[in-house]
Amino acid sequence: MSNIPADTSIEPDFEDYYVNMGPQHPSTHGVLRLIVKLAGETVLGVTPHIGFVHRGIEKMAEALTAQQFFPLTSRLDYLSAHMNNWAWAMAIEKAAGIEVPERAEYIRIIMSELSRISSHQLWWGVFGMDLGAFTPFLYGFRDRERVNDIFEKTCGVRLTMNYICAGGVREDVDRDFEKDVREFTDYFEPMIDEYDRLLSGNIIIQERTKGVGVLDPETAKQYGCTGPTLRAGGVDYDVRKNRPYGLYPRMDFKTAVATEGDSWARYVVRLEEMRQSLKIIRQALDQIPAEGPVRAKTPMNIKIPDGHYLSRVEAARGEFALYLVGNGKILPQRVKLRSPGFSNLSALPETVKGWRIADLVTIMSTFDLVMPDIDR
Amino acid sequence: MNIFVKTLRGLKGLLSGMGLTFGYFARPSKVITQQYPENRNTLKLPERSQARIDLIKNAETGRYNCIACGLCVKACPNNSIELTKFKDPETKKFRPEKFVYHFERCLVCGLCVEACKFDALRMTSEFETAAWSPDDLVEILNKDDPWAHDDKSDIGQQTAPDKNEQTASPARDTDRQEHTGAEEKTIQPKDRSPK
Amino acid sequence: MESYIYRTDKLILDLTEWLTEATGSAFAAEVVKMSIAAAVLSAFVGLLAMILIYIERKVAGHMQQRVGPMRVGPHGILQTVADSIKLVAKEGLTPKNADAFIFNLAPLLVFASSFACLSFIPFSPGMTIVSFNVGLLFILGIASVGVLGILAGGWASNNKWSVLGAMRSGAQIISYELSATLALLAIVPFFGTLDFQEIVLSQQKGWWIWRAPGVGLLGFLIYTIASTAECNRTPFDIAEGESELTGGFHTEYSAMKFAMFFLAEFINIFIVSAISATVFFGGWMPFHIEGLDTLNRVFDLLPPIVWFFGKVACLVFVVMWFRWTFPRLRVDQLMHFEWKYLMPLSLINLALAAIAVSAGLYFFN
Ligand code: SF4
Ligand code: SF4
Repeated sequence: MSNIPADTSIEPDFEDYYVNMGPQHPSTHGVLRLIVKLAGETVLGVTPHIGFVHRGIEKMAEALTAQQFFPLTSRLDYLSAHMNNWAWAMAIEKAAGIEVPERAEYIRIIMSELSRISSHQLWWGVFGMDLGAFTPFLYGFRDRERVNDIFEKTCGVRLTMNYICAGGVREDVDRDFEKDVREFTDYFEPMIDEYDRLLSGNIIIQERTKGVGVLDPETAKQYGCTGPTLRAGGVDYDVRKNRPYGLYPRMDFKTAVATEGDSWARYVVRLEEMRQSLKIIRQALDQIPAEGPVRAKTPMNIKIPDGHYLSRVEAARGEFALYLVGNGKILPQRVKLRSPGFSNLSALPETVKGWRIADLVTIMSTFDLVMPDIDR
Repeated sequence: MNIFVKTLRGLKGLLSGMGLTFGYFARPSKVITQQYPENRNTLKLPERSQARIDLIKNAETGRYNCIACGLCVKACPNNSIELTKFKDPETKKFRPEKFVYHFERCLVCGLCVEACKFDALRMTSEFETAAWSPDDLVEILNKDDPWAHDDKSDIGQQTAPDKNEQTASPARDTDRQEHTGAEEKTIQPKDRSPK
Repeated sequence: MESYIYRTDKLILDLTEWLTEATGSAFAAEVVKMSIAAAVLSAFVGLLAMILIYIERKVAGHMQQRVGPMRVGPHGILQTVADSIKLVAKEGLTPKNADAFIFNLAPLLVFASSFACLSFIPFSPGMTIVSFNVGLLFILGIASVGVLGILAGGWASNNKWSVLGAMRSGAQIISYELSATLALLAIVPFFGTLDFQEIVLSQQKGWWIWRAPGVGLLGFLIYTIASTAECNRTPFDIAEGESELTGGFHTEYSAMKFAMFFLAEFINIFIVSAISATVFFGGWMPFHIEGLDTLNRVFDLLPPIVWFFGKVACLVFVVMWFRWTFPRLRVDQLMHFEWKYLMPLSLINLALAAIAVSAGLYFFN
């Protein structure tokens, strides 16, 4: 109860008032059900109930070959489809010892960063909407559309791309790819300033987020929070830096870190992350070899040798880790997914205690939950 | 004094936001909406845009390229393809008797296209696929073949098929004999129910 | 005929005269006149709400780089007609455990209070349905009946979210009413009357927003903020707050009952803008600059009713503009803002107004 604002007094014998937030509620973004205990407007406690979109993807993995599991990883956190694909690809590559061509590695980086940007764009819009401003939603989607167009041109699909595959990427990028991406980076940089103008500079937003829902680094670490939710508290942990994968070591970028740990910090970190992603994309475009294979030769059914393999990526919401146990067959023996959303959500009840309903919405929004990622 | 500074700064923030929205309001040329059904004719989809699968026909012979090898069936993660085949007496090659595509289950992942080694399957960008019921989404892809006309009565029930059972109905048998008179074999999606 | 458009007061007088002659008694003439007015007002309300909703959607669309409704009719102008038909045709549900009587009464209450307010608005010279020497005070009183409807509706719905929304809105409207009233009352000493027509007439030399030194502008700003809150509009739409309360007090309402809330909201926007236009911007009075007679005559070419609706339209646009730019305040911040800033400010404004009036400080005298 350390986060109760000073001006909130809670009568101990106040009659309990429970409301059911979700599963159909505009700001739970998906089918999350929160049982909220209220005293007037003040939230005394929150119990999340999850599992409405549980599909048993971990179990399904045991009946699918390595190739066939890719489309399903896209459907975990559908906003970081590329990153999730990459995690699975990395696990398979580790297991089967597949070398990934350099060009493919760069394409993977560009795609991942693009999808990080698109995820944050969507988050930004939805964040505005959660706080009652509708217009950011449209602006966020307007810019996200451009990223989706780039994805569609290369991968054929806009959301669940299934583009990164074991041994590289499925096919080489579209011929306009480089031009499109460069155009997008040039277009989007000023747009972040526009985002600042519309929301960040707005005093209402600042009043509603600054100091609201402080998640201190210790609690965050205990709950296993990752991504912007953790970094907002001042913990400099980013898988791309701390446990580099792919060609990220060649990229020069800063992890966005804030110190306050409140909703405003989480907001600022995400905006900064978009800028850093743009920087990474530019570097990758400069460094990418103009030609070359994009996919290593792999058998159609890859045998997963005996052993345990772990891969982790920095998805848009935090660390997505994948633990694969093989037994020498083409079907994996066990796949364990560690999704960032689940851990982040588990820190929510701790964070919202003592805040008001409106703050619950703000905090939930800045945690950026995606339900299929949490339920799996 | 502090409060004045804060008020002014707040006011500035609010006004600049209002300036932004008014800027867009005043410039209708910035509108990005596409009026979809009206612009259907000018709509440009990227070449690779994929919405569903389709069989490729050989332009010369007018036949489908598919030789009913079943690779696509095996590759599909969601059992979206069902395939029965027969041997064509003319060419002595296998041909699909019925290439049933369960679009309602399809993930549009493209793995089947990737698996096909005979250039027989492709992704199309025909995205207007809405239907009134899931049954309407089950489609026979080799519908131009005379023996595979629109009879869908015997498909769609095989979510957990029995591999040994022949799924032929009498009506279909006569159909086939009329057209081909060849032996048939069924390729079913493999059973992935947990053991 | 043409002069009637400019001299609507003459039109009304002639009409009354003719009616008195036709019916034989002044009372009967009044009855007929009121019936006509009620019929016209009803039609006007429906039309007004439709137009405002359409404009709102178009404004929202263009602010968001969209086009708004486009399909029904050219540029979607019939969209709201279609929506109204839909709402009327829908089944009006009453939740099982709701207090049915209050539940059904609430929207009527809200609607009636807005409707009643309209009868005091001076549309044009002489064109007020009820001329009343304390019109301004009366309108402020009647407007607050609406909050009863909102409270009752939220309470009777038997839905926890609705109750929260109703409580919020009750607290909010009652608080902001104070500021709104004080902001208007600060200007009253300048014109020394509460009759709307006379308020308009007192602005022949210049609008009160600048004629009352500083007080006018400050009063206008306070009134704009407070009235936005009174209408439950963003950034003060905490009573609905659909991202928090899934619709607040009208969560359980559907069909016509919902439409009434909706209608009332838009009429309220019109009313507060009309009051603002009347008190601060001279109502139907054309814009005049002393000494520039040619210019003044050009302005006079526009009939007063056009001036009135033009001014109201601008003010309505501002309210819409707020909505499509700003996020929502939190309920406690809302209260802080009212009681710690807006209220003291409006009191100061009132005091300043008193000083200015007693010192005879008018501009453009
Ligand atoms: S893989 Fe190609 S050739 Fe083989 S059955 Fe499928 S479509 Fe036909
Ligand atoms: S696209 Fe994917 S899910 Fe659909 S039929 Fe092909 S392999 Fe199966």
